[in-house]
Amino acid sequence: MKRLALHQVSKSFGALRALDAVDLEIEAGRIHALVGENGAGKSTLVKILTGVERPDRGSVSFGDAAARPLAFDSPAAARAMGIGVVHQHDTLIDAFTIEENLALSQARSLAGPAPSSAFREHVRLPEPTRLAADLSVGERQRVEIARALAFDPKILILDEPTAVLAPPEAAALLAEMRALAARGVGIVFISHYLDEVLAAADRITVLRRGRVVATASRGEIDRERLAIAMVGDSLQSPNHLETVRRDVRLRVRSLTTDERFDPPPLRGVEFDVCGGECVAIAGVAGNGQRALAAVLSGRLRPLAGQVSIEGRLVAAPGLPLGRSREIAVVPEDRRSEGLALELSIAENLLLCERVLSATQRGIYLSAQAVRRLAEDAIARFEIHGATPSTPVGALSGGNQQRVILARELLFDPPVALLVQPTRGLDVKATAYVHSAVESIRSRGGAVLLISTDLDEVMAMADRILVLSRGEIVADLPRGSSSAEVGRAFGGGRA
Amino acid sequence: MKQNAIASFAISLLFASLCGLGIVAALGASPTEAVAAFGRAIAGSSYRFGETWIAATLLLLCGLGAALGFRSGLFNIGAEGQLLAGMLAATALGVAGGSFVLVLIGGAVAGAVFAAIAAVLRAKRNVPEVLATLLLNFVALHLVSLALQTVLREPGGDLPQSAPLLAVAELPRLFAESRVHLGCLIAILAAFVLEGVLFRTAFGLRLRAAGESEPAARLAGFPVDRDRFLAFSLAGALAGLAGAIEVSGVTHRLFENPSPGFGYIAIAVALLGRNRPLLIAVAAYAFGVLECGCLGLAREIGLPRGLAQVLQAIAILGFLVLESRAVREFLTRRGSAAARGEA
Repeated sequence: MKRLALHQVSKSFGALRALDAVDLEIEAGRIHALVGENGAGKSTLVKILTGVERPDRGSVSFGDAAARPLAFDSPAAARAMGIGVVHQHDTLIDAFTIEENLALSQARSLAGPAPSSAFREHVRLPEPTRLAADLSVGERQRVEIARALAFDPKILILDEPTAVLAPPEAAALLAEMRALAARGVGIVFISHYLDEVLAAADRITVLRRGRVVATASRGEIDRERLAIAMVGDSLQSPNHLETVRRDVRLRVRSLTTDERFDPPPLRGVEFDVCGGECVAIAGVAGNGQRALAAVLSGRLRPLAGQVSIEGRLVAAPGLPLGRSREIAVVPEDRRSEGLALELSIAENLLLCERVLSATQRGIYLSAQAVRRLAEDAIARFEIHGATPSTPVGALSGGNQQRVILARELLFDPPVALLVQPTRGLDVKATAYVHSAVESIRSRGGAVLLISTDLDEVMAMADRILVLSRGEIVADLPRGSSSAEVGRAFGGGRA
Repeated sequence: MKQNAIASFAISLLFASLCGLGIVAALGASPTEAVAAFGRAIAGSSYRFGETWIAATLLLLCGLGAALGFRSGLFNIGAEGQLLAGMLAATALGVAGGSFVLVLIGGAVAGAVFAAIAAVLRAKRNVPEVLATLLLNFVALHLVSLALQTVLREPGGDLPQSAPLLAVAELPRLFAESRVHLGCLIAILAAFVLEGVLFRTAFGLRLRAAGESEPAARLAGFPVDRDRFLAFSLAGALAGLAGAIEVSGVTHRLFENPSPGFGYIAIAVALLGRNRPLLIAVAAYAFGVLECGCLGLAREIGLPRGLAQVLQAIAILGFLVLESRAVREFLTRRGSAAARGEA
């Protein structure tokens, strides 16, 4: 008894092909896991299933109804058809009680079927009069699930539901999923944790770069083959320079952060990066990368532990916030953290205390020095078609990244931190960023690359540290197979 | 882009003028007579011409202060209160025999201190600066009343007003036949200085970076909080200076309700000037002209005095409509469609 079927569904965003001829069948009473790296197309698939996006091509059919040329017109239509979704980040209103939050979703979709009065039996809800703000992450999630179940969905989509949960909560959730499936609900379960997927799913579909690369039923696939299917076979970068290790430049010791910053917190993270070396922090997004980047760039004070650059302490519990002059930072969010889009290229090159003080003459900026700096950067970093006064917002993503690299590498800093440096860039711009990393290494700088792109990590890094739930769970040498790395990715909870 | 802003500015002023003529006609007055009266009020004599500069001076200084806040990413709507604080301090000093230099410095310091209260509340307790500056405006207004009923009240006088300032506290006039005073020059100078500070100094760059993208400024290692505190205090000093200049250059004593909302109009002036000091000077002058011209209409043909504010509001709304992204995109689309049609 087939419930929800996608047939040859494709969806593009500009030049990016997010989904490419995807076939998928979700059956009632079964748990269907969707796995894949970031950018594999999982989120787009969820958006199509929930009526947020329409496919460019292909059809979606549901129940016994004939295939429809397009998917649901709107989220409300999808809900009315019996598709419920629990998003990764919950959408509760903090100032409302549980009851009010539940009532809110009912008020919003009067067009849908009448709320089931029995839905609370499915989920162990906390006291309905408690404020959402006072609930733990796991409790909030149960409210979200109750909200989705209020409409008696025939299909329930859970988007990375265990990512925010502690192990016992995650185990309870898996049991709940089983109980729901036993009642005949078809469940779409998205997770990065391969062990969970293998334990819970009746069927597994693997997405990579928008395509279905593997589909298997329970017992047909093991952990290693699943990991390989997810990450693919990576090629090593042919131009990776031979590593000449020098002294330790960046030393991180027992680093622990506050969970309120961006869960999960870091717990006792330790590593060294030597001059001439590129160390990558790999792992699935949301495992502590943000906290690590924030501490290293001076935006977050650690609860415990310390960071030192060339023996000098730059981050520790008692130290003031602020970025060290000895570290270049290419931040994850280049459009808000890396640049001020309304300002010109020349002005953006000055958005670094060290560069700014070098172009100052007393309190004035030397217009000549600024101009020379900008013209130099435009020529050296090949920012084509731009002048010093071009607003950075008018540049392509690749050229924006070049402006940041130009600024950060100007002073040959001993340590460079690059966070997701090639996200959203085309092949050529990506190659350019990689050559910049090589040039830092060749000049004896230490590079710390935080990336969720496994191909990039495997191509660039001398050493791969895998971050999972705020801890370093693996330290792998260059040349490790993608399966080995992939296994460490899904790990952290065996 | 800058040309566009200037075009929008001109169009919105023109539109406001046309609306003004419409209102005049609707009220039964002769439009030609109104235009003539308006012209006499703004340029009929050296005295009248000077009045437009005096009106613009106040708006310019307060507008510069508002722009400084906007540039740093803070919303300072407290120019009104800072202006009043400046007037109060200037009056106290001027009545007590301070020279005009001391009076101006005192006014600026009072404005800065008044603004700094909001800045400290924001930095230390995270009180939204919009709220703090707005509420402090009321505090200032009532402080003025209180002072005029008590310590600053003219000895022996019946009205809640101060004694006149001593002659040494009065700003020197620049010309014999008009009231144009040294303060007008100071305001223009301030616009040039601020233009230089914002666009030619490291402090200005840090400030603009904080305003455009606070995360980028913080990541750059800039002292964002300190810079903003300075900017806020400086904005207060400019508004306070405006108040001191008004008292020592024009009114020569302090009355109750001394400002009909100059500090709020100044926010609009900053907006029209796109937070560029030199453009703000142009906008302030345009508003000064509107103010004086409409006063002339009130005087000569008995139109309501509030007309100036109505027209200013129309000009601002017109400018915002023209500058809003949706309208701009619509116009460019239409423009390119027309170009294609011709080809």
